[in-house]
Amino acid sequence: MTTKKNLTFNINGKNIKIEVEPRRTLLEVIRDDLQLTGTKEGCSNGNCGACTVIVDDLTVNTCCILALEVQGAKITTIEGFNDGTKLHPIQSSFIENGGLQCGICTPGLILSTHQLLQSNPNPSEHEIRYALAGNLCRCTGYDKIILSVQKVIENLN
Amino acid sequence: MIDFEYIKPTKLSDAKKLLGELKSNAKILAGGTDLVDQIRTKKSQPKVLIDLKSIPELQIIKNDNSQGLRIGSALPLIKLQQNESKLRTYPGLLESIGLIGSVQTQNRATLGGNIGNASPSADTVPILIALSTIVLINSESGSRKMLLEEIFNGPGSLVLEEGEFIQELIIPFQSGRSANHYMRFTPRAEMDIAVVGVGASVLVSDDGIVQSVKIGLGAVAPIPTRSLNAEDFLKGKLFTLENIEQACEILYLDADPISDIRGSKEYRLELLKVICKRVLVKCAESLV
Repeated sequence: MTTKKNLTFNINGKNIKIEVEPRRTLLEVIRDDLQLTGTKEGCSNGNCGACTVIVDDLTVNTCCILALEVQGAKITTIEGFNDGTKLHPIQSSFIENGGLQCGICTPGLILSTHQLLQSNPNPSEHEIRYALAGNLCRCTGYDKIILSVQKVIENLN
Repeated sequence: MIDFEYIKPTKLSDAKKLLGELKSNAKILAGGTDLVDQIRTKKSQPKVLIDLKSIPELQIIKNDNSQGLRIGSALPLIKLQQNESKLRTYPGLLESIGLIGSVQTQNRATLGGNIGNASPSADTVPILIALSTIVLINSESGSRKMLLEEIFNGPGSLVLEEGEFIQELIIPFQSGRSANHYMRFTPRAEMDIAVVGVGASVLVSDDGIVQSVKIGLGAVAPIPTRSLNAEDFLKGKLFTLENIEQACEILYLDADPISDIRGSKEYRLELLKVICKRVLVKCAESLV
């Protein structure tokens, strides 16, 4: 077995220092070591976006990142989104508009929506669909997800 | 996942030395959007991964008056999208980047990785070939430059020697009445792999004559390639719909597609004509 290496990063405002094997993905460390199971494992190959988190202000698929790659990074998972204490308007809108059923894709979709609205506060329907194309949902048929995002924008305006 | 070592050099000289010593035991990690999955599925079994993301020379994006736009090979694609002003004369490159995977993929993936992966269907490659992109290759024994179209050896393989790596891409500036675009065909709008991809760059004189044209083809041969036949046909002729259509009829001379789950050989050859025509017409429409 390859020697474990030291890894430090900040996740949801908390500084973490752990030892990890080079072969472990960020997804495995987040779910298994840190027990932050709001980040989901879907396809494990970068297609479905269920494992999306925010690393240094950008959404990434954690199944395709080795944990050691995030040395020194600032990470936000769904547990730390909006301080993890109260519902963010994006979360409320998904609940109110039925933008979820089984919930597996929801953490990723919330974070992808957040990144979209950060860079483009008034996206068109096409821009919303493009920005969320990396988050697969097998329940809703997407229309209610798009509606949830549009309602957030309406409420913020 | 199989076991491997992970090293993240922060200096170019350290990276050269490491890759020179480890040779084929090492694999270069950039964005990892393809490589991490290749390792998980045992398609790639490196002993050591060398992460090149912390080397400043591989993160540049700058205009160099004597050469063109220089882009570090490990710069994430999102940084190219954020530097749109530097890419204003390369709309085709931005179009191709916007088609790669999802936002999550574009936040990590790099041009060096898209090239180094050597997939025949890589989206950025046909347009980079059409733009006459030069690749700066470095190693312990020195650096060299080559045209991007000469770097491919076969599916998944480059002509680079052991210990060599892609440091940066140099895209010559576009000037005069020029245009460039990229399009591809996929069954799904997003998150798919090109069945056929075409990137074209054209320079036209004031009276509408094609002075130079390059047409890069993706997913229709074992390596990304150019249609020299269609280019030669167009050169010196008026850039009209009729001439574009005739050029597209001889694209098959430079294509040798396979039949696979995404499409048969015959289907790809037919699509190639359609997509190339659309790209060239779009170029004609965006000429001023």
